[in-house]
Amino acid sequence: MNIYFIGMVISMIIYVILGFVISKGVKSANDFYVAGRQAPTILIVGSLVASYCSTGMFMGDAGEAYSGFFAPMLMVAIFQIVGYVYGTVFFGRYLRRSEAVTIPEFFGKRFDSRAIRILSMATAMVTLIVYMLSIMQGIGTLMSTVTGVDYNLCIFLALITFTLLTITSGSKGVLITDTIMFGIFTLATVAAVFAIAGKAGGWTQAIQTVTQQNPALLSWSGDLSYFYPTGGQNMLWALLYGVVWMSVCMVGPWQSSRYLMAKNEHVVIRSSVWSAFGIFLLQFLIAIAAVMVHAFSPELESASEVLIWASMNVMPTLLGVVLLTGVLAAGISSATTFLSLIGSSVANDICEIEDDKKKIRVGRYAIAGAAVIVMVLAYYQPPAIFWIMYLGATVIACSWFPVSLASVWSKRVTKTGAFCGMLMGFIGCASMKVYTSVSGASLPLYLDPFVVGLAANLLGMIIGSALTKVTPAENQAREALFRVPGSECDLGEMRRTKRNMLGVFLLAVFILVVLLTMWTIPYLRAIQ
Amino acid sequence: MQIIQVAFVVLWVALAGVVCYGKIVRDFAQYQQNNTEGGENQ
Repeated sequence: MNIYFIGMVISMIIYVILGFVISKGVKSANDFYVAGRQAPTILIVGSLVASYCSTGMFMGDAGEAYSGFFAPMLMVAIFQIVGYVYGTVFFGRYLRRSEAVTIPEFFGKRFDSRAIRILSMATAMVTLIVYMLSIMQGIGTLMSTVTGVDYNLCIFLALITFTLLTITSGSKGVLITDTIMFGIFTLATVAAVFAIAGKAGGWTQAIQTVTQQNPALLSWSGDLSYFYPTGGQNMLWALLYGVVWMSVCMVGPWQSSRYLMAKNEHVVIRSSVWSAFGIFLLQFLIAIAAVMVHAFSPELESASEVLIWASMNVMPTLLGVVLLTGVLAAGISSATTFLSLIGSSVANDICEIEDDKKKIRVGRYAIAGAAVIVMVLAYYQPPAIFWIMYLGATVIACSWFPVSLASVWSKRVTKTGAFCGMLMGFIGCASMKVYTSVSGASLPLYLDPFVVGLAANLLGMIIGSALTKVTPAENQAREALFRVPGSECDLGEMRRTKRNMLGVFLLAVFILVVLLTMWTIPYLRAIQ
Repeated sequence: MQIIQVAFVVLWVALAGVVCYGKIVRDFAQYQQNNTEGGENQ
């Protein structure tokens, strides 16, 4: 047992205690599933960022950047952050207005169809479990690498932590602990990056050293020996997966479900701007920190462990402990969100229970059941964090993205169209993913599972809608989305929201300054 | 090429700002108008 393990165990104990403390405030099913719909902007931002940032980001994305994919990953990140802004304006606030408890419930009410509610619930479940598996593997790899303790024991400890936390405090606890964890890993990341750069002789010197070793690492194209052989192909990949992740950030269940807990629609819109700032900063700093590790060790055996290695070998011990605890927090925070969504879907979408106490009880059983399933699956899966995570995201983007937007903005999409679109998108994408995994085939970008799945979704939605008619109930449900509650029309709130939205332009300037001063200019000087 | 890349991402974010800010301003103006008309009708 070393100091890193002690730090992690202490943090896990604190999260469990917090869960028990917060559970005292959970009085109703509304509290348990949607945090009483009273969450302010800070909690929604904290939960959005914490649910998004998992071990996949600190290990998978960091590993990709270390391996030479810095610029393509950065492009993907820019699309993601834009996804938050578009997502809240064109989908999230309407979702909040529906007052549904789950997103499948929203789809079910909007299309007046139990079938689409169940289908969206099933697709979300598959994605959430796949995603949770990648997080479990990340946590297991992190803890066992750092401590030498058995991998399965590590994932068991983490699983107990986030299961207890979610079971006791529900969404209310998830929002609060997510925000605390967001604070921990953001501060830890900022401190860690500057510690790594400082040890390499300062920011400019670190970039110079790394560029002298391999000029391609920080180039616009990425390292051409890593993935695709040309810069153009790498950028096309980045644009494609940028769109995938943009759509995930717009409508993905673990992201848009946060809006259901917001105090009002203004909170939903404001949270997108500040989440975009947070995600950009974290993605950029983590990626560049991973690249800078080349200054100390250019040939790590396992790229996804680059930040773990840096925590233990480059940073001061205390900072290393904080960063590793932060990475663990990122994993746990995402897992709690996923587990609470699973519990919520079982109690609200499958069982449709009315009694408050029974609804909470069933949700808790479902969370425990899902935790057992994930534990069993995690026990047998190999640790291939990055690609497993991408499978989850791509599948949900293909099955939900077009239907979600159409549910608000199309008068012509029918329940049959929405059902066919969602189903075909899911099958199209998942079958292509399975085919490429099993056969090992390398497909051209236009046959990427995302492209096939998205095309299948649109085709299903168009054909299904052309063959059927929109019912009066569907029409009414859509019209209800555009009836603005009086409480949203407060002049002061509207003024504040408009001011917050100007933050997007501030973000553009911030990105310009950060990228020029911390990447482009030092890199261009280094290659001269 | 890197400069073009940076310009692209900045413009991409700014475009999102233009589209979404414009939408919000338009919607809020509509909310206000509806509210005023509702008050007058009462």
